[in-house]
Amino acid sequence: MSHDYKAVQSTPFKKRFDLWLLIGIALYLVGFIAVSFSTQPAGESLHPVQVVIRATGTLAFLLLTFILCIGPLARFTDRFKPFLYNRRHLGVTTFLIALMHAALTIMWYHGFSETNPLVSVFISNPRYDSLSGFPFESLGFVALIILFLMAATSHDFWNANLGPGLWKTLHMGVYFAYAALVLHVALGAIQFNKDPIYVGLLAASAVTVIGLHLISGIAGLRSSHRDGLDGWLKVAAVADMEDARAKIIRPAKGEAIAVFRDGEKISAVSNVCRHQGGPLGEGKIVDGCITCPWHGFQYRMQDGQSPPPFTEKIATYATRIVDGVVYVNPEPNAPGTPQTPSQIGASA
Amino acid sequence: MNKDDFFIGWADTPKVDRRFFLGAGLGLLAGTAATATGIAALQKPAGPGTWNMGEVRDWRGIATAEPYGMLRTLELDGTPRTALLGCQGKCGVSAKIGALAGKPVVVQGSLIQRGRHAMIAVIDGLDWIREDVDGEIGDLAFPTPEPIMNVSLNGEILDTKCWFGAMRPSSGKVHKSCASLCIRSGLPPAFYVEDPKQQSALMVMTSGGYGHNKDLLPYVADPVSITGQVQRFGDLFLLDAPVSAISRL
Amino acid sequence: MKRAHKRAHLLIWIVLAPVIAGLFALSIVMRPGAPVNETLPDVLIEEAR
Repeated sequence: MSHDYKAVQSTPFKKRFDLWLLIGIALYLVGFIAVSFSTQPAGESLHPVQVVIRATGTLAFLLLTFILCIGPLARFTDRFKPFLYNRRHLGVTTFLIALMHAALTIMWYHGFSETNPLVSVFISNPRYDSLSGFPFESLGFVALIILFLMAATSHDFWNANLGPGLWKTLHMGVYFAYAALVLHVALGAIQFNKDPIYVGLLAASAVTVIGLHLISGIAGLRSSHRDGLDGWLKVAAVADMEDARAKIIRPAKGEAIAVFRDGEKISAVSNVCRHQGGPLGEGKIVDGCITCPWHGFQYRMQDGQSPPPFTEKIATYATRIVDGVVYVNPEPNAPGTPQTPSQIGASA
Repeated sequence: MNKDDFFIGWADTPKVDRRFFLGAGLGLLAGTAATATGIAALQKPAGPGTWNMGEVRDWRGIATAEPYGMLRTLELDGTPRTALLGCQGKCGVSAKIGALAGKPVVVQGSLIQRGRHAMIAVIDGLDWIREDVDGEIGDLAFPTPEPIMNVSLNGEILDTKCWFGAMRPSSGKVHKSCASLCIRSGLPPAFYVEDPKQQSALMVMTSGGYGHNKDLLPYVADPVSITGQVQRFGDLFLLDAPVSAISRL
Repeated sequence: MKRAHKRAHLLIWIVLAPVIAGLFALSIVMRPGAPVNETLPDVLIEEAR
């Protein structure tokens, strides 16, 4: 059996997660539709198609807001790692709901005439030179295309074949999609329905997403101390190294290094998982293998190779222990190179 | 840290994560329900228009193609009344009235109605209008538009079909593209005005006595001010103003 | 996460944050008011809405 890529498999946890997700979506849509009809004055109800357009549009936006909060939150607390692990299901679901919103809108507002509905999306409102009059539909369309590209490439097949770097770059497009969507709502629905609660909800969503990303981004930039010995970097005192866990060292150049303790052995590998760039140093040693906290990809401590039949390889680093203090050589070995672990108590 | 505490997707979920997930899940569901309720409850009422698409019937009266396709009929409330004419989708039908203009006709379609405003959405195909050989013009002849006053008013340019009940809601920026498409395709545009006491008026828009053309499109659904002449046209009001008399607020 | 990517994430948000905030704020400030009239000519006012 060959493994060009390994898909993240379905698991009982994933199934439970998806069940919760479906319940949440059903609750939102049913609640929105029921409240829409029950709160309007008699004889002035909204058209059912237009209610569904609003229900799906608002749900897709709120879901994307939540999705974009997961990444930074998972950097602050491990408890959000399970959400991170299932984020792609959320993303694809969001795309499908947004697609329903777009399809209904294009059919309903842009259909039923001699003009092509897709052409109508871009020409019916010609005020591209105005802000408050701007054709907000075009912004939603751009966001939908980005979400489509991401949903279409969400499978690990694409992650493996595009390479994690390009894949991640492509998927950063979601930030631009979100920006387009904030403006899609700001220049669309709330230009007409001016209730301050709508404005507040939109502003709170945008501020939360932007704020969390800026804070976690800035926090992630700080590099750790670079005390050293003969060009080797100081990691920590052996006594401070927790079993089965790692310390993350960020050299001045190159990628971060994860230095693990497994019982009486110390080894160092690249902090970057080959799968999606997950932080291996925030992972743990499980069954003798370094296990990525994001999707559970595993590597052997002694050579940075995934156990067969998997074929992923990461860089290893030389370590040594001097006077009860662990040091790591910041020069990486080629990915998959065996590196003898340092033995605690064996050093001079 | 407990061995149990490290989440791996493919392994059993640690207890601490299960507990957090349960709490977060319940919290998120509660938030979802509250948000759906809040957003849905704050929507504006959509207006009292109705369109019973299934109730297609014959309407007898006198047709005209100018300024827009219209039918003067006794069949709305027994008095001479004007129903605008439109197709099933987003298009006007004035060009298809042709030689039957001014003659007694039978029109087949369903009624779109909002207050005293009415439109007949005629059936698809060519058979929607035929001459009524037994019909008489009587009181139903279209009058000449009669000038009432010159006005300068603030309001919104709407398409009549959606406003009368084809869509709910049918105004504002979200509906702008649809209203533009309707007016572009020949449905009669109207000017809707309100005062602070929520009293309102609706005038069908003309320019020099004729229907508006695509020049009007950039102003559709935006808050605008129009200076023009109000005319009485039977039971309808017309607002006659060139596009140059329209300015955005 | 690769360091270059981490920087790219941050860079994108440093660019997007003011763009979103600025355009959002402007779009709210510049919203046109509702087109209300002080009075309407009596003859035009509809008896039944």
